[in-house]
Amino acid sequence: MSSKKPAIYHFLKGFWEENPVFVQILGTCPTLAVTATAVNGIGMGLATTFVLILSCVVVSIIKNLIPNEVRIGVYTVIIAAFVTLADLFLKAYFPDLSKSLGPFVPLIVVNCIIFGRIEAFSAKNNAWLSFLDALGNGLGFTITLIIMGSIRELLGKGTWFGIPVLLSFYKPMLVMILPTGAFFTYGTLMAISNALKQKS
Amino acid sequence: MNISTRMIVSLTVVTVLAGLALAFCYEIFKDKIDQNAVKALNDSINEVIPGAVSKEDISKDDMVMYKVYDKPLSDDTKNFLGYAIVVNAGGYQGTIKLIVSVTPDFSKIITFRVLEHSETPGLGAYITSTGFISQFESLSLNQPIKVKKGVANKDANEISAISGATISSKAVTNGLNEGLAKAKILILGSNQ
Repeated sequence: MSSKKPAIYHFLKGFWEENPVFVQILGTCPTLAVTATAVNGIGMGLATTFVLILSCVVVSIIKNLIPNEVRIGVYTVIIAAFVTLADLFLKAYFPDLSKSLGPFVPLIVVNCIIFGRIEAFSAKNNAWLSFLDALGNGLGFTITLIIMGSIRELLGKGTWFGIPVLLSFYKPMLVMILPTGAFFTYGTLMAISNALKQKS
Repeated sequence: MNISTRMIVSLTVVTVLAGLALAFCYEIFKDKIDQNAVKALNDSINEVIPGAVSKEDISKDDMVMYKVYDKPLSDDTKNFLGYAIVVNAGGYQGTIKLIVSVTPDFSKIITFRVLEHSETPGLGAYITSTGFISQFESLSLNQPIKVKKGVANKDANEISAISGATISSKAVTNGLNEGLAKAKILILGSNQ
């Protein structure tokens, strides 16, 4: 499949055509759980992108050395190592963000975007294409989380990136920062994205 | 090499390499993480006891407690400002971690801050609001603090619960009552 399409396609597809959240429906747990604010969306998105890129590149390099029978175990160890690294880095340099993301950073280990991309792409393609694929998917995921976080923060708290932007007479809709609001936002955005895709 | 040997070798090599890489990175980040923890503790002590400069660790039996002074510990003219005590309370969804400041004679609460909690945003999360916290300021420690729904009488050591979050309000209050009673015995001795 890699030979038919130009390399840039593998980078771009993650943003819209094969967006991990709206099209592949992967990584819904962090999407719903950490998007109460836009800052959390960025933090989670970039941490996932970091792990995704490194894991995918490493796997695409060593894929021929790993026997098929133990590949899942090997991939898990590789992903877990990079996640722990990301977690330590956030704890050291962004303690506040690390605190607000809580257990969701260590949970990137079981984020199905990473496993999904490794199994579907990196295990069959070379390191350069895997890098582009991981970068595209990671950034697509990050942008989606920022959009969800912005909508929920704006409606639920009246702020954007912690700065009050809606006038004081706006009464924040509490439901938007609760899990219910996450499902509302996710459903609505997915409906919009599907409607746009059907048109084109 | 047969397949089972290859399986064992590849898993072992990957795991060992990952372990080594992580141990190496942990060494790099460890100091910074420790510094952050110390800074967070000092900041929170400063918030509950304004003007705090130094602290003496008097932690005992799994209770984390500090005596806080306005000048460095080596300075003989330092004044004892009060105790800062870390209290854990069982919240609506997991533990609420508080830091409480208490007057030097252990008679009154100065104030407290919430260090960690996982209460419901928009409801129980209001335990971190100034409005809720200020109700506890200068309440007596000679009798337990009580939670009331509706208007509370501060003279009777009462606070009014956050509407819609009675469980969180009670959790903080009970945590303070129990934690400070335990701290009082540890600090002043059981005969007081």
